[in-house]
Amino acid sequence: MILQLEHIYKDYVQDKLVVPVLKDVSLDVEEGEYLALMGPSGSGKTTLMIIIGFLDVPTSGSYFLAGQNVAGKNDRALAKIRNSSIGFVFQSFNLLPRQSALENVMLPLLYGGVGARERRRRAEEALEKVGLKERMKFLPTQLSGGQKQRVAIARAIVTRPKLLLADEPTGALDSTSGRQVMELFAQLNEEDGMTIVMITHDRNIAAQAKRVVFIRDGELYFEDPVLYAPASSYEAYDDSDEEDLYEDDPEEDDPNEYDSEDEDTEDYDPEVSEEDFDEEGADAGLPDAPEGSEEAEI
Amino acid sequence: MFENIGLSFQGIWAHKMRSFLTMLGIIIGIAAIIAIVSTINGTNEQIKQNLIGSGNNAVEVSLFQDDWQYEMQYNGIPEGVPVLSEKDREKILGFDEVEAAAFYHRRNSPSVFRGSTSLNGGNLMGTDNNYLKVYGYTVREGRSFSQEDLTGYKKVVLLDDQAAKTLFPSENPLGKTLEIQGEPFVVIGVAVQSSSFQPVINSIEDYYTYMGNETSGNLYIPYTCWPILFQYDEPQNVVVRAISTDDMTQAGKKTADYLNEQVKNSNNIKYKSSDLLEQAKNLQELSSSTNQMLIWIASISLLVGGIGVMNIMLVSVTERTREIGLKKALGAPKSRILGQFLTEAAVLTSLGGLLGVLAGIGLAQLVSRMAEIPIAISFPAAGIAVVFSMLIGIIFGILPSVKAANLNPIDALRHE
Ligand SMILES: Nc1ncnc2c1ncn2[C@@H]1O[C@H](COP(=O)(O)OP(=O)(O)OP(=O)(O)O)[C@@H](O)[C@H]1O
Ligand SMILES: [Mg+2]
Repeated sequence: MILQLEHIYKDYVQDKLVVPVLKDVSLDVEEGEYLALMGPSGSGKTTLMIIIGFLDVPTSGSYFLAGQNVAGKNDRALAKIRNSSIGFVFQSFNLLPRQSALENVMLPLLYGGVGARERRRRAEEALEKVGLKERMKFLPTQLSGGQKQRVAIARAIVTRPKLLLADEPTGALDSTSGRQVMELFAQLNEEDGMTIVMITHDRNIAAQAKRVVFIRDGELYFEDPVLYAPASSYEAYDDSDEEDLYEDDPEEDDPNEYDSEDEDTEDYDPEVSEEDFDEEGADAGLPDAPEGSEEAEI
Repeated sequence: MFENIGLSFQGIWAHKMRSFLTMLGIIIGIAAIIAIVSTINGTNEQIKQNLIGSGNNAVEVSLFQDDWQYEMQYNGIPEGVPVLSEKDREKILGFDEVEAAAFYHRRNSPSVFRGSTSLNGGNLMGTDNNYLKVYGYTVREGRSFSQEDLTGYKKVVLLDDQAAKTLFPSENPLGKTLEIQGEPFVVIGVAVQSSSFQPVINSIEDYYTYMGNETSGNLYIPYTCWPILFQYDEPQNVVVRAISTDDMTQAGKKTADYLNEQVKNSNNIKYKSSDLLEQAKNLQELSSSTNQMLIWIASISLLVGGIGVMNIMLVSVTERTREIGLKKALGAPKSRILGQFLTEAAVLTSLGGLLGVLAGIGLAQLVSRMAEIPIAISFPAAGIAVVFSMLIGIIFGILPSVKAANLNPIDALRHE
């Protein structure tokens, strides 16, 4: 058992008002699992991931990582665990804009105290794994959205963590790039035995995981609850296109929309406009994205 | 660490305009201080050279009553002060700091005539060749005193350059006769100071300070002739040459102490060394104290500069919340974030300090050219200025850096 969450509660306090976000969440994740976490916007997905990833502590409940209780660990110890045991992938990449791909990937190793030569070797290895070794000198602004996300994945796996946490990793990507990311995840899970917990809005993406759990209003469901029943969220679920995994569905648009507001560290992202273009022509069912690189075939 | 310094330069370069404006307070403050210090140093150096350089490390040890020089020509021979002998001179020469020593009698404004031309002011000295040696005089024309001049009470006189010009404006003085205190004396030589020292005169005040008693020149006669013109048993003044400028104070003090052992006077008459080094210091202090005010004012600019740095750093921390959060998520400990921001502040202000030093040197040069004030750029001061700016960065960087280090990584990741 790599992850063991028992009766986790998380409240946020805002203007003296206590907002319960996670309510009695219990979850076990086995080593080597590939788990997707689904749920409407505001249901507490990111909050849960933050707790799993040691970026915050729960209000109550206990949490074990690889059998180790993390309660009561100090700041430095938590930083160390984050560095060595957990890899993060974010929706908006979060690459340092003025550092090359290689430098971005080397960053966690620097914090882990790895020597310069070894840092470089391992970073190159990780970039090779995501198929971007030849672009390692590029700055984030010189990379496409999909490439940026793959650099971010390289950065997440460079320390060979036990656990890879991804918060809507395809949310800001067009379907081709999204597919590449998913392929990479599948490969990391199958070949390297990495445990993956991935948040997504997208059923098609979730379908690629080995197990799907659902969260709604801070409560965890192991079967699909009727997520779309009350209109508490504008993000109604649409099952109509479930058959075709790779057809663009309208939901995919939403993350992009707030991504573009989100992007204060990133520069103009060509993928967004490409995506728009893609969507207009989506009915034609064309094999998408003129991103046109050799990795495009699936 | 080097990683951080590199990153800091990257950051500074990425926001050139902002960084420059942030540094401006520091640049102006440091530039002002460097310019002021250069001017103070220049003036001090000049004062010191003017006062000390003229005398070849000579220290005069003469009789004082309380704080006033004791003038025998007005006050008569003091009681209980013995006439000094060759034995005393040898004792004085035995001091480690003393290289040469001489005794002399002196009168201000003696009566000296060459025909109808008279020496107004000036000094008459009764002495021997040792005196010339102590002050570094060489005889340019003619000869110095001979043994026979001294033992035979010969009425001969040596002139210095100034006196020669005053009394013999258009003829060679050698062999000519002068009337000193009504007695005829024959000119045997003209002595000049071998070091061609010229005090630097910048103002009227300087002129009086350095040139006051050099207007009409000095005359030297054998000390054995002194009683012919004045009194017998008149005690001498002493002048010693220290082996180095730094030894002047000690040489003067030891000599005065030795001489005072033999003085038994109830009217507070004592030998005192007129310490030029001390005098130079007093003058320097006078000129420094006004400038010290300016330094305080410049320091206020540094304070304002520091606050500016703090302000911009705080803005920068807010702006970079996301970057900081990411780094924490990747496992950067607090200390590392703290170090990064402190380094950034320190690099920023050190760079400001460096630019300030350059600007200050430029400013000092400009001032010296326009106002004809001497400057001396002090490299230690420049070094201290840069280190000081770095400290300002560290001190005023603490608050923003702590703020950055304590950021919650989730705020960072959710920060819009
Ligand atoms: N710092 C905070 N203070 C107060 N409330 C917060 C805070 N962070 C999150 N919340 C609230 O917690 C709830 C869950 O947020 P969370 O980000 O986990 O949702 P999510 O499932 O990831 O949504 P999305 O799919 O839109 O990313 C939201 O209602 C949000 O307003
Ligand atoms: Mg979320």
